[in-house]
Amino acid sequence: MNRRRFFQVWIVCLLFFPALVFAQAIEKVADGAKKEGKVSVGITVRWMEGGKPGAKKMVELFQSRYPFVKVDYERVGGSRERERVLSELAAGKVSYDVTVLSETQVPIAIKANVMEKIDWRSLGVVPQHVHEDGVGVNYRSQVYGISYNRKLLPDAIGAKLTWDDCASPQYRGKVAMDSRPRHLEIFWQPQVWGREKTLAHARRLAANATSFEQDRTAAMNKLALGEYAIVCGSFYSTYHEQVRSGDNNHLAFRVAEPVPLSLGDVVFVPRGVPHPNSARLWVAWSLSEEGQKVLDEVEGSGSPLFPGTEAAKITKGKKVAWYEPQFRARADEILKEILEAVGLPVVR
Amino acid sequence: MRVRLPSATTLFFLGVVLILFWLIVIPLGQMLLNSFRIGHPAAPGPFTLKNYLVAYTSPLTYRMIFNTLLFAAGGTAITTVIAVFFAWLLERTDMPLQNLCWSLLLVPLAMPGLLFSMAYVFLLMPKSGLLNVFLRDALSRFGVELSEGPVNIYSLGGMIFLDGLRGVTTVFLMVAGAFRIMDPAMEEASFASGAKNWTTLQRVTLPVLRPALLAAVLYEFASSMESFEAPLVLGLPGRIYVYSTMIYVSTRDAIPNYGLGAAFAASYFILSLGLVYFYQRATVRQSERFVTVSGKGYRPHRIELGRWRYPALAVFILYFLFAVVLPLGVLVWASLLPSYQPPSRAALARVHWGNYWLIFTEPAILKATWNTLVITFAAATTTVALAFAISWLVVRARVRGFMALDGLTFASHAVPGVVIALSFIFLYLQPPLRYLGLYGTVWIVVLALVTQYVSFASRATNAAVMQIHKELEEVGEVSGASRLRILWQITFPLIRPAFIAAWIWVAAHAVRAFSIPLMLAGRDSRPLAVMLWHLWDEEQNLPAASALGVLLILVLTLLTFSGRAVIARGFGSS
Repeated sequence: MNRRRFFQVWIVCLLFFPALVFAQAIEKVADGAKKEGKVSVGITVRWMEGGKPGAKKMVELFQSRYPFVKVDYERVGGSRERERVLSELAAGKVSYDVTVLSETQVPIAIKANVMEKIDWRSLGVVPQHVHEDGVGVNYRSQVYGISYNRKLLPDAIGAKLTWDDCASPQYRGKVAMDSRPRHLEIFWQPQVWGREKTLAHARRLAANATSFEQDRTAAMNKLALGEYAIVCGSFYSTYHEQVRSGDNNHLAFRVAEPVPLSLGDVVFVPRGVPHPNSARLWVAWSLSEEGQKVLDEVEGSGSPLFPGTEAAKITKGKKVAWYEPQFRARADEILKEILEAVGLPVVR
Repeated sequence: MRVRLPSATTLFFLGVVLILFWLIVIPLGQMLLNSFRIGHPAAPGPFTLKNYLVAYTSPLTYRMIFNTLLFAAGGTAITTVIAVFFAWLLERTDMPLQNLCWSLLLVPLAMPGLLFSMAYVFLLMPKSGLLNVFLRDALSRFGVELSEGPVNIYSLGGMIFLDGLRGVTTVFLMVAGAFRIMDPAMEEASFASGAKNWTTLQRVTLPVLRPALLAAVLYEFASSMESFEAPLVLGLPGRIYVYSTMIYVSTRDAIPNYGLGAAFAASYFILSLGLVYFYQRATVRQSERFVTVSGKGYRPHRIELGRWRYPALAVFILYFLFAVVLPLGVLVWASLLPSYQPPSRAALARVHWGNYWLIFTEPAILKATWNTLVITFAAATTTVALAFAISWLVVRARVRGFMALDGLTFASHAVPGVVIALSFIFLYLQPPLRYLGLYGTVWIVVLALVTQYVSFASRATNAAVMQIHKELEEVGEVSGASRLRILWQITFPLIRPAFIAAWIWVAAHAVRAFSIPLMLAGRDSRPLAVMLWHLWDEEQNLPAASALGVLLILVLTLLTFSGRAVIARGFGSS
């Protein structure tokens, strides 16, 4: 073998070796899953999204790929549901083999020793999606934007909305947002708006009679009914869910710059689950290209790191503001300042 | 030396005291302890005064306390005025259709507070609420153009309005009996002196009924203070916090802080304890000063309303419209659509039964139905059995320390539902009771409900045991029966009607209980009330939530009326 040929083979091996290792690791996990035959999953995707299959489609696809694992699925939604899950785990009650927590709950869960530490990279998960503590994965992306009701705000105005408009007296009493305004956490980062500008914006929101809904979907439902004209900081996925049903084509989503973007929701395998291999298999699959593609289809929240996803498409050419890991780790401290500024009770 | 063994009664007494300590004192103690700690109950941090400093130096806290008091006072005022007026109309006047109205007044009992609040969201949302749209249309005919409102249900006024409507039946039931059995001699003296109906009502009837009214007002005020559903559904979007929602938010929001929740709960408990103290004084001490039910035969005088008979009936119909017809109607409408939208011809074309089909086929809902049955049966039976044991020890056996036992039982009345739930979270999420594995099961919900209702049930069973003459039990003693056998074979059969009535009362409340199961139930132990909230809040499936709500109201209406029939028959036969 000449020298050139040797290097060609060597490069090919180098390229395919990780894939080979991942494939072997997955195969080993799949063997274990075959014996277990079942997995109980409790994550954020709704079973039906906008009247069409949501998690149902994910489960069907997963089961067609791994027919030997039966999936028992239930939605674990907002912070209240996740707090229940955390408390149950702390009490030694394991309800799901795979479940989800918010970023702010992860330190408590680690302290309570309820999360299994797993080498997700060895199962082929893209490193950017592996949580910095190594206990779970950020399984979906969230693009934050401004949703508006076309019946109340024509496209000529709506399509030009900026983040500043959310606190503009022109829209006083017409704007709603979630009681955990995560997009403001992203703006708070020094490389985006910085602390002072963000808190000043938050104070203007409070003075502008902004409504704070407990849930992004609740805010979007009321936007569709005409209760609000604008919902700031809504998830693209929540908007996607509304228009997917075909009932709410009068809603529109404005991708305002900078576009806040985060890889959120920490999916993990709790300690002591009855089906650990099946759980690993589900997580690894949901972070694969196929898993992200179906997640994108049903929820519009596939990772922008995979080409062709909604997040990749709508942020293309835009100025994107990522939620950086070092600030995500300080999320509750940042959130506390923001909640104080908007006049919501701060409980820590 | 011979050691004197404690008697069976003493052991029984100690057992009951131990149970009450386990249910009331230990959880509250644990909560108080944790109010001085930071961190999650599952991973508690160091001791600190920070929670109290944060809680009681924030202006938001004092606004919250003010909101709570205003909400309770406003709701109680509306409730009392309507309930007393209806009690007077139905018991002391010749208003038409009295029997029907009496029965219809029980229907609101079958509508859980959560559903009532949900329905009013559909009716009075500022821009798209059905009644608001109707009112705006009506106002525009008079040249008044509004872009929203005129009513905003997401306000303190909206919360007070709903709370006021919700409490009417309970207060009505509390005062109607007093209206019925009062001695009419004083009223007749007033009429004989030339006083008119209104003057007699103001200067004779109401003052005579003061103890009953005061007790009802205090009871309603305490209930409103504890109210959770309207503040949760209407208060949170409007940023209006009361004690119950503040504690809930402290433990379930984006950044939970259980210690801070416990610090809020401490002052909430003290406030409730004060109310219970006044309630006790009002019902026990004052009642003897106003004895108007004597052994004399009497038949209260019916006041003739004359031309006001039908307007009085119209007022009742108006109340029933707002308390039952409109909320139930909008829920039925919402339950028939794939996604909620106001009534229109286009919406009518989309009407279907799919949401009802979902209720009967969804395994999680079927599981929740089963959980509700288990929780209701277990909570009602355990509560009433415990209450009966307490009553027997307090009223009949009168063992040393019986007053303390009675006081301890009654103190549980002062612990609001969210405080009980929070204290149970601390107790069962931390060692040693964590190892029992009760957290997240139906049994922790049952225990918390027993704690909440044992006080009321013991009042009912105390009264029943008091009515039984000791002679009957003495006969058993002479025949050589043991005290426990006498209790089971003589005393219990005699108080069975009261036992059944108390059981139905507890069951009716347990089936609708919301705050305790919401905070304590796990994935597999959710009852229907929590499933309803899950569909409404987590799933945002408003049509399915409405369909479940409509079915729940139908079942509860049947239960309310059959419960009433059972109680009536039970007391009739006894």
